[in-house]
Amino acid sequence: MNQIFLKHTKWVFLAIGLFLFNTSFSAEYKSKITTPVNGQEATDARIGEGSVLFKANCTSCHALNKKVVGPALSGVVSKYDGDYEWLLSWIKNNQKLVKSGDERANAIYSEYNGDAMNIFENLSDDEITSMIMWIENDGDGPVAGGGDTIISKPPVVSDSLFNSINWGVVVMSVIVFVIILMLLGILELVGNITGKEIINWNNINAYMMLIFVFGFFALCIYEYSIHNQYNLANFGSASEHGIEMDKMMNWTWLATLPVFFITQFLLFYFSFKYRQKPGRKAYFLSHNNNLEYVWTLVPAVVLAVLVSGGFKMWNKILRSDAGKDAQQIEVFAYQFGWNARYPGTDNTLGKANFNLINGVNPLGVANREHATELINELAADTISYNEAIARLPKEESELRSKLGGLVDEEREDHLRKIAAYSNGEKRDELDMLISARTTQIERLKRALAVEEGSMFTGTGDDDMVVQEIHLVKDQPITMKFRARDVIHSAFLPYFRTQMNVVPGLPTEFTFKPIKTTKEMQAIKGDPEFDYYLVCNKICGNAHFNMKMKVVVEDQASYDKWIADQSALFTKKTEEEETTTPEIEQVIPEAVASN
Amino acid sequence: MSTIAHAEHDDHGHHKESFISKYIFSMDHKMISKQFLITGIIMGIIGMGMSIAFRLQLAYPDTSFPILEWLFGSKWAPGGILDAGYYMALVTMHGTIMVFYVLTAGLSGTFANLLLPLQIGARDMASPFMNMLSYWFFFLSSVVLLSSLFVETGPASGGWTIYPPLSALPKAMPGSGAGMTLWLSAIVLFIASSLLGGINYISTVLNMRTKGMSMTRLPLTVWALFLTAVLGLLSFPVLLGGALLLLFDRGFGTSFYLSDIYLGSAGALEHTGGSPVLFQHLFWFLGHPEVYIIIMPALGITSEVIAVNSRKPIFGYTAMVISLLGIAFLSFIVWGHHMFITGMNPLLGAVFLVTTLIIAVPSAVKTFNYLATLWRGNIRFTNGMMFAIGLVSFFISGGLTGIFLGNATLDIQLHDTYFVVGHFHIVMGCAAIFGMLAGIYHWFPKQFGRMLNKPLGYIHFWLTFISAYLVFFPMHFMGLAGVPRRYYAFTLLPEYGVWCDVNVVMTMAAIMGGIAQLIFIYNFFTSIFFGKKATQNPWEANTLEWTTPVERIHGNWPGEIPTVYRWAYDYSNPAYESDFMPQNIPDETSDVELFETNQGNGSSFQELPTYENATFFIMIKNWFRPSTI
Repeated sequence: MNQIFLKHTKWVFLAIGLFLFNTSFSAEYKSKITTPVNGQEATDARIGEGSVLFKANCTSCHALNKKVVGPALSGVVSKYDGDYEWLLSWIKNNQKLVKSGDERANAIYSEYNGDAMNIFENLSDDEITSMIMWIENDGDGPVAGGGDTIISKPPVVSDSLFNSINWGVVVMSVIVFVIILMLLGILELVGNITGKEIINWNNINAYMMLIFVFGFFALCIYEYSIHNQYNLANFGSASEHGIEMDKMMNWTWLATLPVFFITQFLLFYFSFKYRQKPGRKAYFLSHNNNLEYVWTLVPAVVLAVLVSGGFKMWNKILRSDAGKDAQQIEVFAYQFGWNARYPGTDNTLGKANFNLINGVNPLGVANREHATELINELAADTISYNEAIARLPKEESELRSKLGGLVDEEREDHLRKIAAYSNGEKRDELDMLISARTTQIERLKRALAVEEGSMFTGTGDDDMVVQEIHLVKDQPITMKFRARDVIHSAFLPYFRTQMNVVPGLPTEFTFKPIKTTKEMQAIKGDPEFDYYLVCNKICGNAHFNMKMKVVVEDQASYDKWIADQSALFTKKTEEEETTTPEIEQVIPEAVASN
Repeated sequence: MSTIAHAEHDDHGHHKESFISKYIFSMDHKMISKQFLITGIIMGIIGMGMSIAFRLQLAYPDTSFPILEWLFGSKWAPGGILDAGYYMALVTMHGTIMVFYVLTAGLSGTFANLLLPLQIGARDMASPFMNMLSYWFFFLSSVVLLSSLFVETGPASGGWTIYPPLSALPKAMPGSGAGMTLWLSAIVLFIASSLLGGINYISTVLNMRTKGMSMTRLPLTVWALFLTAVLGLLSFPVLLGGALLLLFDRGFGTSFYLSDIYLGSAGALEHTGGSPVLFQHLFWFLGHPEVYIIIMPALGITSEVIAVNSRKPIFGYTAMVISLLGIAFLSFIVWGHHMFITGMNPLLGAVFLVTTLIIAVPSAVKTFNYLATLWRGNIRFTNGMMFAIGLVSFFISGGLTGIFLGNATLDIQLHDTYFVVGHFHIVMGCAAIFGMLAGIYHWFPKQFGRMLNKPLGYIHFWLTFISAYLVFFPMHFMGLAGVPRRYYAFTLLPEYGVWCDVNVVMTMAAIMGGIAQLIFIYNFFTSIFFGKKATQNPWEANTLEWTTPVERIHGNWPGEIPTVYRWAYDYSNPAYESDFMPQNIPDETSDVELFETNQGNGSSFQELPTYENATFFIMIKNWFRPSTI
């Protein structure tokens, strides 16, 4: 009660303050008044909470003022005529709405070519409302809100170049080009008549070759001088094995760069030097075995050295038992984002399975109660799918009845919709879903029935699912990778670490971080620098926005951070220990007939 | 059998042909090569246009280009800004078109068809009908692929490597819907075309060489095209298998590549037991030989063009052939270097690391041999020669970066970054395109009976050469900085924002390169009709194709097929006054009796008694009989 009162007084004061502020200043400050959402006041606290949630869940696909993969979200409440309940249920489980035949949901779904939005059943109504508050109050500022490329340096060529093409210049250059061509044509004609070539193309090109090779080398060096500053090797590796890798990289440069410069130079120099001259005949040389042995063996030896080095390093990084005692965490990839799972007090990661994934358990960690609940949920789904099947004829006849009066495109659109019913497409889709759910229920039941070697050991209950990886400096870590849907690739460039994340195939990578985020910030001279885990295997439309922050810190800060994380299931099992839900036998008849 | 059939053509080479049988369903290898070339050029324009479209997005991420909206419609480029999904689709289509349609069919199809019969002295391919089918399968495949641009959910957009599960699940991304089905159908047709062509090329080279044309006297173009056909024949069926299994996974509920998948839009899927890595093995078992299928014809063309225009024999002919054989063999056991970090057993990674770096040795030999050929030559900078030199330059630059990527340890860091993009665009993109252009400029007089405009060719070369380096060279630095490829924009990763200005330079260079190709296309199509009439042997080359008349005749030679008396590289031989000696000119200086075994019976090769009970080694020995010069 007291709290509510405090909250209100704060708002009263704020409102009065804003009122005064607003009347005394011009209209540009009007945006300071927060827009309420669904009748709830948008407090700073809630907007802040919304901001955090939005950035964790939504930014890979949505921005405020720009379409990224999903639509721009600014003004999202009014977009759906203020039907807030609908908006909430769409955000929580858009697929359920689509399957239930909701017209608006289906319209959005097909507008985005069936590129479905993720399910957010783990978010409460209040949390979603907080995010919408953040959106409706212009996010982090009137213009920002993501979606735009962050350009750290102004582009060398102005943006407007293409929009304001100077057609005069274009026409002029075309004319100049044509004149040059005509001139060349005339010279050639004259050459044909006099029997002498006026332009010695051979010499021109020979000199061009020489100019090119020096220009090329100059460009290489210039390029090196301006772009090598971003080379990761400059900042030193943030992992232990990376130091050796950087050394190997240097050795490889040492072996290849001289070859590059010498052979490129010889190529163009020979072209220049031995250009055709009248009266000269080329030197007849068909082969020279000794020479050929030399340039077969020398590269072979150099490559053998590089091979053996690479071979040793590869085995050391990926095939040694050195990291056996490393701490294990799980890195989980999905379209489009990352999660990490830390073991709890038992220091063991619980087993997980893709059949167990749902909104509240996004990683599918094994927990008996959750699995039981999930079975009931899935059974309810099958019922609703069956209901949807039963509705199909009615929907079809409704559609048909509306056909009259439509013309042209609208009619064709409508006919296409009807076709989806009449050719059984809709039915097939629902049948497949029912079949998938039935299989999933069977699998879960079987898994629950297993006595020995069951995955429901309870070791996963205290696991912590987090949105940020925290690592301790100088402590080896094994990342165990698991993918939810398609192949992703976990790329940590500063740690010289990369491994694909493959559905159905567990992969892992062990490394030892040796530079904290702060140290790297100091090295780079950039206080805002952060390590990121990014996706490096094409995984869908929002592939480019899949990232997770990685923090390397000392033990003390790590301990503090990990203490703040909450366990996945512990709370529930404590509270509901006695009321373990039972599987309701609600498998409908239609399923049996399938 | 076909040789007999063609013998009858000898004296009625000019019989009447209808328009359709002459230009459309032609069975003449020269016409088919033109069909391949022109289709390849059109596909090349489309592929390059796509790359410029997505490069605009990379350089000016939030800028509106009304032309994009005009091209792709408001659905895929609303307000002139490319849609993220369509960016992926363009990248995918660009890769597919360039790799398969331009550099495989456009390059091999054109030059194998044109050069194999002409350079070995045959009247046509072993099976002209299969040859025609090969083109029409290719044409059909192109149409199916391009039609995917017009389906509702857009074309395939999972990258040209179409890794499942992304490509197997229509719900994983819009581009995996109907567009992907069309992509796979197009590839199946393409493989059919490639196999029909390949079998034909191989049998033509093995069975239809003229008198005296032993394997050691084959021009290197023929060797390269022959081995390319062998590679294609052995590796394309594997991709066919892989693609069919993927079609089953997509349409019939099988689980070859799928396991343990939960999709946001469909929940947990029923598939279990499959492996996505299996597809990658099947794909790269073609995919890596494919790289050599692309580059070997280009290397063969370069060998020929450099030798002709340096007026020198190609240096180390035997070494060149052996290195081609070495590359061809090794290319089958290195595919795993595309998969070092895909979750494949690290032990395999170690093995593939070794084989991969070994393949650099024959490649190095080829490069040094090119340099030695240029040394003390008498170089004529024809347009073709310029492009051949450009190829060698690219082959060096791109080959050396391959040493980084082939090393599994360094690949952990560089895999799928822009370093890879720079590497393969230079070594197999630019190099192969330059080989193709060298071939087009060199054999245009043979193909069309007219000459290309020389100054335009020079402008084309320099603009293309410089712009290609400007586009792809800076990519190596991006890769070293850890910038991942296939990113639509750097919206959430401020660190990569520094590359925007570099992207602008690259895009400008790409546009410059595009304009240069327009000059070429103008030159190409106007010269077909209005170019200067070509002479019979404009480059004073030795190979047999220059002994045919300028005008196209069915059966290639009006009279008897010339007999070959010497190897293809008798340039500037001090024994003769002329600096070239065509292969059909008898060799009086030779004291080796040429046809001790088959003189007078009018055929070659098959009748050699040694071959009746030949062992493989005798055959090899015969191929590499000491040269008779």
